[in-house]
Amino acid sequence: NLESRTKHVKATWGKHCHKVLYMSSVKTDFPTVELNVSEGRENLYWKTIRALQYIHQHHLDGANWFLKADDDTYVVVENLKYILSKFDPEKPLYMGRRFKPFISQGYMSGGAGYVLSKEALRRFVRGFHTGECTHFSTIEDMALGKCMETMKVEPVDTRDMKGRQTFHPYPLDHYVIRQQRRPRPWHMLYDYYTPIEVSNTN
Amino acid sequence: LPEEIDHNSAETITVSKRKFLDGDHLTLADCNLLPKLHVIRVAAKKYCDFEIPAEFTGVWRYLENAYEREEFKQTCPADIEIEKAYLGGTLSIQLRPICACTEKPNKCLLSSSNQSSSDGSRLGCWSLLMSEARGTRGAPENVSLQVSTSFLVANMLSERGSFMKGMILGGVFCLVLSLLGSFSPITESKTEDHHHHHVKAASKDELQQLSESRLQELNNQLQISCVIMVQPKNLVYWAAALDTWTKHCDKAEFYTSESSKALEAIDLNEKDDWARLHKALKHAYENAGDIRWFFVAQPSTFAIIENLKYLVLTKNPEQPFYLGKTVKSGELEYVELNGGIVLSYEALKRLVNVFQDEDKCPERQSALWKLSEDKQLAVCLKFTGVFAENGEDVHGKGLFNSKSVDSLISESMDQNPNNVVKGCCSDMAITFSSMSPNQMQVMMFGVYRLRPYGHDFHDILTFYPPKGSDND
Repeated sequence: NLESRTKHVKATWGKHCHKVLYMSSVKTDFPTVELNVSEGRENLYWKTIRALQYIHQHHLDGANWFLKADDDTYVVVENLKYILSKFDPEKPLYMGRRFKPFISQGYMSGGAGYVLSKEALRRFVRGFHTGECTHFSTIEDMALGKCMETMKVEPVDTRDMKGRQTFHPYPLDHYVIRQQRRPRPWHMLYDYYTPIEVSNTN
Repeated sequence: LPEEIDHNSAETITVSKRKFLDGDHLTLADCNLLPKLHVIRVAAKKYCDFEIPAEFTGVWRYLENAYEREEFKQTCPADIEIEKAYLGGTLSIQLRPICACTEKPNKCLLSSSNQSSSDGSRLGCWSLLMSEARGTRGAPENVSLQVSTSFLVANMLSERGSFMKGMILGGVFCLVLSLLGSFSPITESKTEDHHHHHVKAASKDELQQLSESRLQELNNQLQISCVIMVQPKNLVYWAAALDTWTKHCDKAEFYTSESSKALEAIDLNEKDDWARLHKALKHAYENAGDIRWFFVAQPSTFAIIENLKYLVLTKNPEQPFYLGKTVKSGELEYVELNGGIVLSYEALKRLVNVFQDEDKCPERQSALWKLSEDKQLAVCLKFTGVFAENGEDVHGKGLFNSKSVDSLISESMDQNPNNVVKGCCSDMAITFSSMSPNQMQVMMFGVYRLRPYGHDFHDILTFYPPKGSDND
């Protein structure tokens, strides 16, 4: 996907980050970090674990907040900074689209992208070091959420002042387009904060 | 030339080192002279037993350089043809060399590159034996026909690939010209006060020179009346337009071909596209009130009215303006309907007047020769002295687009892979076309709602939503 996707992330919103790292399972010409993992959805959590460990080892002092996104995610970095500006990176915090199932305090959707504070990253890496966190599942976002709960990292409500979500696991047209009455799609049923669907442009 | 000699070293140069008249590449001057020299060589030798003297080394060198060029060598008629043409004596037939250029008519520059791309910039330079039209007597055009076809055939037999396409194209072009007997440049039509082919938005400097009160005055007077041509078969688009961008018009009127139970519009009860547009514009003019600017669109067009206001802000609606994405079709330059058409009050007034002239601007076109309604509009306006002008931003980028955002971005990915977003479209774009209803909703979100925190555009003016509109 390097040519078709990652190249475009690099050319567009990637430029607005303080620093961008592209994590890959293989060595490439594109400037990526080669992680010692295999490819595939079952290995996604391993990839994430290795990536976060790598960052902790080499880049911890380079930033206060660490955003994990997929190559099909689009981020308006200025707006992310605006949200993060209200919080302290030395506190163990974790932001994203909060889902309620499986984990009692909830977990952040992988598809929507999530952010770890500096302290949260430290605790994640420590958890794997001490064995408090393990690779107990291949479902990356849920498993990471479990580790966060174990290590006492708090999930944050990132909705705006009108209660509108800022992280979205699906493209724009899923949210903006007026829909016919239909049963709620799975991702809205998963939402920790009850979604409100309004029928006018407000 | 003295300058040339100066450039060189201290030694006295008496002989030009150039290959052709104006350098090492063929130019229009050569197109003029070389064919004559060639004809003199052939015809004078045959009939006057005259040869260009050997001591005219410059002339021979010049001719030899020319014979080395395929485009000259291949396009000279065969010697026998030249001899035949001069058979009747030199008085009745005159040589008129023509350079047919497929792109820029005033430049006959030949590229000597090895590219075999068949882009229009490869030009052919040759001569045609043309007869001077002598009064009404049938000019011996058959000679030129003979000559042209003979070398056309000769060309086809040779190997040159895409270069040939350019040559053949040019050959046909020259043929048509010679048959018409005239080769005059396109006459400039009568001009009005502001006859340009493009209209640009005001720059920041220009706006800053206006006083605060003048700006406010312009802002208050500036209102757009939107004329949207709908049909029940496009109901979903109609609904989307109604729900989205048309709310930003000061007045929005929908004109339909037939009435629909679902949505309200002015029913013109007219199936013919041009007749419908004709009626709609007339109605819009008669009900204009104080509004001085008109914007015509289809429901598959998406428009940003604020950017339209910015374009026409400093333009006087008492002058005729007919703006949008201009396209040339033969001699006619017209504005594409799906990119949106902007008309000033004066332009619309003149149009409504010429509607009364059934010869110039019939309400119903003849079945034989049907023009699309946007072309027909241009024809009618042309009769009133109003010409299509391309709407552009301060950098000269087109503001009206007849394609959708994603196809423009896709094109930009091919054409400017290192600068896709910036190279795609103007920041102040007014229209996009072929947008689906869903895409229009997404556009509304992207244009009017989603914004990056902390970015300031420093706009000089503020446009407030029209009174009573449902837009925030």
